[in-house]
Amino acid sequence: MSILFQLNLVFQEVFDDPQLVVQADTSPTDLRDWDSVAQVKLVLAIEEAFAIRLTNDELSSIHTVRDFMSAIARQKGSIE
Amino acid sequence: MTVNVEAIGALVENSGTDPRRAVQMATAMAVERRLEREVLRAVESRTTVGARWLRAALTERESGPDAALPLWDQVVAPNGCEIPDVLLQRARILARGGDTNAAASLIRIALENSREFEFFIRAETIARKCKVGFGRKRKVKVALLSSSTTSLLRSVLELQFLRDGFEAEIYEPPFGTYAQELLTAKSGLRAFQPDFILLLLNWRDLGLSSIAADDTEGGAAIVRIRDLWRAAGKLLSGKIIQLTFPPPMYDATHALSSLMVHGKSRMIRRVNDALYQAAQDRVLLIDSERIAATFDGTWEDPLMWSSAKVYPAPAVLPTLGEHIVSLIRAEMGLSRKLLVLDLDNTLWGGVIGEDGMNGIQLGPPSALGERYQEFQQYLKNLKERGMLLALASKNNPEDAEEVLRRHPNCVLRPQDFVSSKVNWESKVDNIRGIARELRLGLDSFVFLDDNPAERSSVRRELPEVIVPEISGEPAESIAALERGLYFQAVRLTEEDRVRNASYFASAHQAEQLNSIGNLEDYLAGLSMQIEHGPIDEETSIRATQLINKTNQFNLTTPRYSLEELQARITSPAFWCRWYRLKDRFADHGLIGVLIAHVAEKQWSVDAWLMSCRVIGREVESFMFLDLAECAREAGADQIVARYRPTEKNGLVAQLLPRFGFRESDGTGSFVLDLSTTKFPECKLLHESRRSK
Repeated sequence: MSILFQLNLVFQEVFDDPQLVVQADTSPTDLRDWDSVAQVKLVLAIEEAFAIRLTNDELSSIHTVRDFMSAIARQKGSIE
Repeated sequence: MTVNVEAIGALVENSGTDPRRAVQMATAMAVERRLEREVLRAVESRTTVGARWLRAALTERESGPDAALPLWDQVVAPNGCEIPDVLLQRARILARGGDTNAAASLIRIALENSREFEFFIRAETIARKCKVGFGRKRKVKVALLSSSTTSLLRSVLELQFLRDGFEAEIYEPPFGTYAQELLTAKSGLRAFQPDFILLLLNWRDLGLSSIAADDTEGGAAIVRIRDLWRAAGKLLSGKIIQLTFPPPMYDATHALSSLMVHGKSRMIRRVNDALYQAAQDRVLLIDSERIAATFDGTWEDPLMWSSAKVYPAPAVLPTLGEHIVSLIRAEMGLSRKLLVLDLDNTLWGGVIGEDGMNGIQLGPPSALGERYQEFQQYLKNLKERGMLLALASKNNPEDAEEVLRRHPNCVLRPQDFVSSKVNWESKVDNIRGIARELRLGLDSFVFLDDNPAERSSVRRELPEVIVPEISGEPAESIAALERGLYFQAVRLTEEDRVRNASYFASAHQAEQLNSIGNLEDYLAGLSMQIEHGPIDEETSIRATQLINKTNQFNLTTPRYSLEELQARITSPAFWCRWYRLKDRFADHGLIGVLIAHVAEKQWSVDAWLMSCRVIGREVESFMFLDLAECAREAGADQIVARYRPTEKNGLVAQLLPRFGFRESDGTGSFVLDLSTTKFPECKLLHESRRSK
């Protein structure tokens, strides 16, 4: 199952919207509720869902769904 | 891997204790590959939680929410407990159908039983949507002052306040500005006038060296915090909630941190101790060290601190929030008072009617038996600090009696329960009976039962009662009570200790009333003795407690802090009295407070309240008599008073007219002319001491 597929489920859950569809280039400008508090909540939910711990560098450089995807891939050990 | 029906089924069936994530993925996979019908057929007859969950989720997609709702109802944990995320889903369906109240009551159960931060995130949107369904009975204003960001804590607190029926207003200045907010006269904090001010600092704010040369740094830290408290006291009337400091999660000095007199851990401990000593009635302390030590996880999250200035760790926030909210409840007189317990598989393992005295698990050598014994000891301790225990259990009364009297490892004995309903009647009726007997509101009750059916019927019929989800495993029962902090208290008085005896008498009287019939004869036979006197230093603590928690027999429902009361008792312009009642069965303790503002010709009632335990015993007449006589002796010719109606004090709506007060203008203001007043008689009360 693709990371994006699973990531989309987490976004749906955090924003409590089962219809929500995010793309790799979705960013806070596309999602009204994606503010700094939501960002922290997303990070925590993603860490739980993927059983990973994002690093400080990753946390400060994540701005789009794609950034989440590559951080997750890196954490899971896959080579990009 | 080929995704087929079997793989999807296996995914949810082997998903461990929390199948939420697996079900979510399985649903998405089934939908993506248009396998919904096939998967549904495959899981239809399966009984695992995962399979039932998936069936409900897919049915909701295929046939709509109405068809899915009965399936959702059946998704419970293998031990019969409700699953918070399933409750949320049911709430979403009900809310969409417009039944906000039913949705809110499900969310309330979920929030009561989960302390997982991620769950709080998931609950936020739906809970907000159902806001009106929670009922917002009490207002509270809380300011969050902190050296870290409080937005996550705020989200958690808002849900917990909503759950408890508060209409909470939260003031959250930018983090790090706490000192400015407290020290400047024109701050937003000042304008907000909070009821409670949370001061959340961390060890970094203490400025302690790794191993200091002397006490200077520690001393300075204590002074700084006390100065903040003092500043708050000057500008604001609200209470301060201060967290103590757990030691940092890393310390390069290792053991030396505590071995050295000026090591960091040791200094932090001394700071905490000094805070406890310096805290007055205005400051409520939260023992963070204890939370940190018992919490299942770490108190700090270094990454969350560096990237988002979150302290403590997000995972701690629901637990911390519960401590904060429970202190606020306690301070506002909203803590629970009575715990109703089931017997079989709640207080001991097994069924007494089947297993017999020697078959039930209670105490050693069985490990489970030891945990039941420990749970009973926990309950006994709860009782010894003034909480009440009662029984509502379906057993043969003789069987239960036998265990409680004679089982060598039974910690709780028959006399530990203020009321005991061991019979085959419905528990709902029995709990109602207990409330009537003890004259307590159901909103002061908690009910513990391992049987899901009993829990759900009590919740449905008596929504005011809190019913935690427990499986009967005693360690879990203790955890549920520790999690909810329903019986939180901020101070302990002598009355707390004797309260049990007093309620006992209430229950006993109720029994007698059933057989005697004539109330007056009965009361005469009680040999009631009333004692009274001016409120002084010693009685002021109990009087403050009574002022703040009395809701029913309370004419104007004032809420005074200890300082506010002390200001009155030392002022010549106030007449402040306490009343205490004893009878043949019990010492009821200090049960009444009457305060009047004294002017030359006219006295005015400032506070008149009485514990509802002693209603109907002439105490109110006695209080009135005391007031009227003192006022007349002092040369006054009028007493004025107000009745300020609240949701709960309907009981005293007619109190003033009963004693001859006349309503002056329809605004709740009453006047009594002392020259024409006919004084009531108090035949039943014996005055045992009169101190002027």
